[in-house]
Amino acid sequence: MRAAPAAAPAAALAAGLALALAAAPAARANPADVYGFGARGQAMAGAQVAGADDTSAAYYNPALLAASPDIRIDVGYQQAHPRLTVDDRDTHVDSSRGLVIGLAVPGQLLGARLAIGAGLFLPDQHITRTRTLASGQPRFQLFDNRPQRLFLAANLAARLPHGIYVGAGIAYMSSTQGTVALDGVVGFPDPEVSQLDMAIDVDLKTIRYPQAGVAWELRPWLTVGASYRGGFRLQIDQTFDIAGDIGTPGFPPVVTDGSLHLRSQAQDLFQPAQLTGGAAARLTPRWTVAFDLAWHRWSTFENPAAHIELGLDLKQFQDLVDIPPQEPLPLPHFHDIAIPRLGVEHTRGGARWRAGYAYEPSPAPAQRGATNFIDNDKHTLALGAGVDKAGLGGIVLKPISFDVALGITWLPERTHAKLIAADPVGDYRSAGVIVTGSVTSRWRF
Amino acid sequence: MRLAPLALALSACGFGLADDSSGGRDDLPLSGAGPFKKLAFDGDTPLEEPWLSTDPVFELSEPALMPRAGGGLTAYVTREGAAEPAGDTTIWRLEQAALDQLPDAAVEVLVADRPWEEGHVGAPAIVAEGDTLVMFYAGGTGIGRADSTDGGRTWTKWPAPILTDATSPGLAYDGATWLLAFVDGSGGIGLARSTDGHAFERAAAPIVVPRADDPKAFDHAAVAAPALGWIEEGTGRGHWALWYAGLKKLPVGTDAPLYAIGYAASWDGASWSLLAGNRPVTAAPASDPAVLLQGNHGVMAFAAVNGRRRAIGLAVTP
Repeated sequence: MRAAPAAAPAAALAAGLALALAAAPAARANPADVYGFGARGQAMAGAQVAGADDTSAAYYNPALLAASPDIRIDVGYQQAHPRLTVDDRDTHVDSSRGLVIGLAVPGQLLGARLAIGAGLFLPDQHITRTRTLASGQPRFQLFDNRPQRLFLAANLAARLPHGIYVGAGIAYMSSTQGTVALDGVVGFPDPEVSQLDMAIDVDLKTIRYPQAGVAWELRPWLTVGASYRGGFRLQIDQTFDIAGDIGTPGFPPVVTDGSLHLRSQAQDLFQPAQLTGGAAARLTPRWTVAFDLAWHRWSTFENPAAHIELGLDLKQFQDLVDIPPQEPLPLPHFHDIAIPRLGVEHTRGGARWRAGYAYEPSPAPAQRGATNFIDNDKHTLALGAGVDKAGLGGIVLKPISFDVALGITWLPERTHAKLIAADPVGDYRSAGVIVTGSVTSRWRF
Repeated sequence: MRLAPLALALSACGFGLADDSSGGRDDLPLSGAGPFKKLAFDGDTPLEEPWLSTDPVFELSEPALMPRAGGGLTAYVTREGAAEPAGDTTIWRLEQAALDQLPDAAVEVLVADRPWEEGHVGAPAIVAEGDTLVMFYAGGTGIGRADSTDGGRTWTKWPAPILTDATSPGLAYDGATWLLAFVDGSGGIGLARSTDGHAFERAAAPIVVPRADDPKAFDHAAVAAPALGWIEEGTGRGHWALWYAGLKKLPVGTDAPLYAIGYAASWDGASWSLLAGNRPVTAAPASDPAVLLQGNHGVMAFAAVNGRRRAIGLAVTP
């Protein structure tokens, strides 16, 4: 906390507000939930809970980080370009793109293989983006802020006897709690003569949520796995206080000890708890098939709009002010969903060819009432390829893998017919297409 | 394959394919409920925002809006001159090529020349029926009709009023049904329905009345000046839209009434619902709404006092 000396009040106020706003929290869920993590996983439509063979296990299933005896470093880049429409008009939802980095370092402890690993998605547009919209404001809820944030996870994994792997870790986010307080004289009728001391108290807190996984090599050709990713929501609590006299400095105040108190409480960064089970079968030396079924607990999603608490004490002038109470926020009524994912990998002539399909039903009901949390079912079809190239002499002895993925997600049209004619938004149709692309280089040491 | 590491390195440095600002809010649907925000003054435009038309001598009020060929809008307004007997009004037409441009000089298009009009015509409400523009207007103690086949430059009146003992018409047409909103002595906004545009049947009860039981409502004391529209939504379903002036408190003495503009809607023209929240769609002072919706954008013309005279202002959504 710091206290500013009496200064130009407008500048102080602007600075305070800017700090308070800039310190607001990040987006919902994470970009890997939306578009996948790494080229191989993306090409197989995310069916990786038993089939991840690189550092993307830091996201898909931390247990599999211990599956390889090699030190691994994966570096890549991925993009997603949505064209999401309402009534056939593009709403210009932001693209998402950023650097994907994974690391896995194995070691031995008491004869067991351990591995530590980390995964990072570093967006190159917004490290994090925040905006709290009114619940009636139409937006594609799952694509608004969700892909616009950093993802960082750290894990520890171990290989146990009988082909069993376990792993767990934490992923990091940050939350905000802050107060901007101004104390002094508020200039009236000329606000430029205000004399206010400003104090800013903002905490950027680390928020952690757990993730864990297990995998079992049931047969030499078959691995099954399961993972759990914790759900969370952030409570955003920001307060703005002005206290003091109102009038012209040096003269008797018009109002003595007046105050304004504004508190905004909102929820953001919602991520549903996720439980995924799956299997990866190497049916032949050339063919691998992976299947995942994920359960996402969207039923705990709450209306993310802000609760505003506004208090104003103008003493003898209080009767001149009428601040209506905020209406209760309508419930979003999301429901849990199950997401099947199927991926195939075929090795041929030194190259690996991949394909995948995923179906993600929408957790959101048709928006017939006061909310406009637009969402649609999603069909994702992905393709990809990878090749190994010889290492770099004495620096990198093992082959380097290059992988690419291209995916398309189709959001079939959905109709939102309002219950009352005087709805502020009215009926609309939502639909869309999202094109994703990814390149990854995988390095083993 | 030699290009792959280069492409990877370039992309890793952040050379993406596009650059965006915070998006996701363009071209969102529009129901007619606004809110309509009055144009903010912009010193770089010739317009004296929010005023579309203002005059030191004439009282301008009761606008109607139609799309202008080639873009922009055409406004029809009621004009009352200081030199004429008090209450005598005529209807004038003006065109505005763009919202930040001055309108062309206004042209008189309708005068009171029938006995039943009692010296004044005003409050135009206009819809298109094929290539014909149909205007309903207030005159005397009734509502008359005039048609235009040249884009609204000249009008041919029907011989007798369409509706008597009513004024301040609001008109909408969905291709099959005509709805005519009006103000009469009931204190509320009445409605009449027709299938041919000249034989109207009045509803038994007003569709909007003052919210006398809610002293905080913006329309607690009075409702007036209805404007109607038929809005077809993205799903193909349509609804009837009603904008009206609401008065929270009756004026004291010679004070001007401080109207705000509210919104109601109906699927069938019989059962109407008010916009939730008891809030107006355009803040006071604003009265006599007229709305033009084009795509996902809307323009509202309203009347309010500018200086000593009533003038026509503009508000937009979003």
